[in-house]
Amino acid sequence: MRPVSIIGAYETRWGVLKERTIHDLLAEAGAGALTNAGLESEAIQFIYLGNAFAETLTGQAALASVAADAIGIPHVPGIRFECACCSGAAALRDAYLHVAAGIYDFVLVAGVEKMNTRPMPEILRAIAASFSQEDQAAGIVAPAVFALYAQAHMAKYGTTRAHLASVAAKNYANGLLNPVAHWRKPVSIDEILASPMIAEPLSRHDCSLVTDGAAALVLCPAESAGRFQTKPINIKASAIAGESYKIACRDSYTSFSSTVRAAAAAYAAAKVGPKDISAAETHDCFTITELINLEDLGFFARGDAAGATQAGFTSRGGALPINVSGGLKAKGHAIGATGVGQVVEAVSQLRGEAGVRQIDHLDLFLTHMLGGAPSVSVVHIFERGY
Amino acid sequence: MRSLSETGSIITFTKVHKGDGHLPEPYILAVIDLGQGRRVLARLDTDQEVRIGQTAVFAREDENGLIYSVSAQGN
Repeated sequence: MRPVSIIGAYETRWGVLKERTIHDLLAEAGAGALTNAGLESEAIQFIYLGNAFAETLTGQAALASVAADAIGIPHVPGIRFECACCSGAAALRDAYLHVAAGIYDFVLVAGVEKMNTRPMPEILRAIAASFSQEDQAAGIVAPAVFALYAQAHMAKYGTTRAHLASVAAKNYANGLLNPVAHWRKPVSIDEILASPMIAEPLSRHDCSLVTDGAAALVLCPAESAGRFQTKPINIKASAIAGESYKIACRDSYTSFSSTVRAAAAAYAAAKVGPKDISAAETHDCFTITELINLEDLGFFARGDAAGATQAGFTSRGGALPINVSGGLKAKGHAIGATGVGQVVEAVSQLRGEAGVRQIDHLDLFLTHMLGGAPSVSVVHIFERGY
Repeated sequence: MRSLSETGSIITFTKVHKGDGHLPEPYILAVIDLGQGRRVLARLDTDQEVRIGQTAVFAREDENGLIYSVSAQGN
C-alpha cells in the first residue's frame, strides 16, 4: 500500500437549495475540487460517489454517471456508495484503498444529497429506509433511534437535556463562522430547551438539519501530490466497522460499537491514540450522538463528554475543538455529502485556509461518520503532507 | 416462544411526537429484554410514566408489530 494524498477539496453552499439540481450541485463540487487540485478533469480515472436517497427523493439513480456528465468527463466510470449517512465517508474509503493499492492514480470522490424535495414526513420515511422494515412498521424514525440511546445514556450517566443543549449551542456558534453553513443564527440554551419535542428527550434543536449540498475531493498517490498541490493532505488512516441494523439487537444502548471498533483500527493503523488528535468532525446527527461519539472515539471516559462539552472543552477555542464547521447541526446534513464535507473541513483546517474559524496548533485531524441504526461507522485520520 | 415473549424488562424507551405519519402520534417505543438473549422493539400501550427497568407485558400484535403494556406494579 502506498501513501495517498488529497490534493483538491471543495464544497457547495449547504442549505435548502430549492433551485439546485443534483446535476448542477455535482458540477459545482466536481469542478471546484479539480480547480483546487490544479488538475485537468481528463486525468480522473474513476468516480466514487456517496449518496443515500436520490432514487426516493429525486427519482435519479446511477449518480456516479451523473457526476461524470456534470464535470464534462461522461466516459469516466464510477460507482455510487450507499450505507445511509456513511455513504460519502465509505466512498472516500474505497477511493483511498484503490489509490493506495495502485489500481488508480487520480480519482474523484463526491458526495451529494437533495433532501428538500418532499414534505417532512416523507423525508423521515425515506431516511427510515436505513432501518429494518419491521422497525419501520413499529414506528422507528431516525430521531426515535437516537432518543432510545439518549434515554439509556441519561439513566446510566446522569446526562441531562441541558448537557444535550450545550452540544447544539456550541455547533450553532461554530456555524456562525462558516460561510457555507445551512444555519447561521445563534440559538440560546433556553431556546433549545424550549423547542418542541420530536422524540423524547430530543427536541427540534437536538436534531440535525435537512440539507441539500455537495462536496468533492481529488486523491492521488502522495509521491505525485507535490506536482499539483503545495499543501497536500495525507490520509493517515481509514477504517470501517459494522453492527446489526436492527434496533433490538444493539451491542449497547449507550455506545456505538461500530465506532469503538473503527476507531481502534484507525488508531492502530496511524500508530496514534485519541490524545494525539488535535480536532475532529464527528457525526452529530442528534446532540446525544456527538456526546456518545466523543466517548466511543476515546476522547473522554464514559459519561464525561457531557460535562466536558458544557465546560467548553470541545468549543472552537477549547482543548479539543469538535465540529468547528458547525457539524450536522449547523453546517447541515446533506446525508450522502456529509462525510465528504467533513473532510473538506479537515483539509481546509490543516492547510490553514479556514479563515475566521481557523483552529491553531493542528497536527492530526479526525473525521467520523455513522450510518443507519447505526449499522456502520467510518473513521479517517489526516495529517499534512508537506 | 409465546412464554418467552410475554414479559420483559424495559432497557430503553422514547415517546415519539413526530413520526412518518403512519401511526397516531404520540406513541411510545421500547426495547424490551425478554431474557435468554432475546430482545424486542415494541410499542407500549400505557398512560403511565415509563421508566427504564420497568416490567412490560405482551398485550397484542397488530399489522405494525408488537404491543406491550407496562405492569401496574412497575418493577
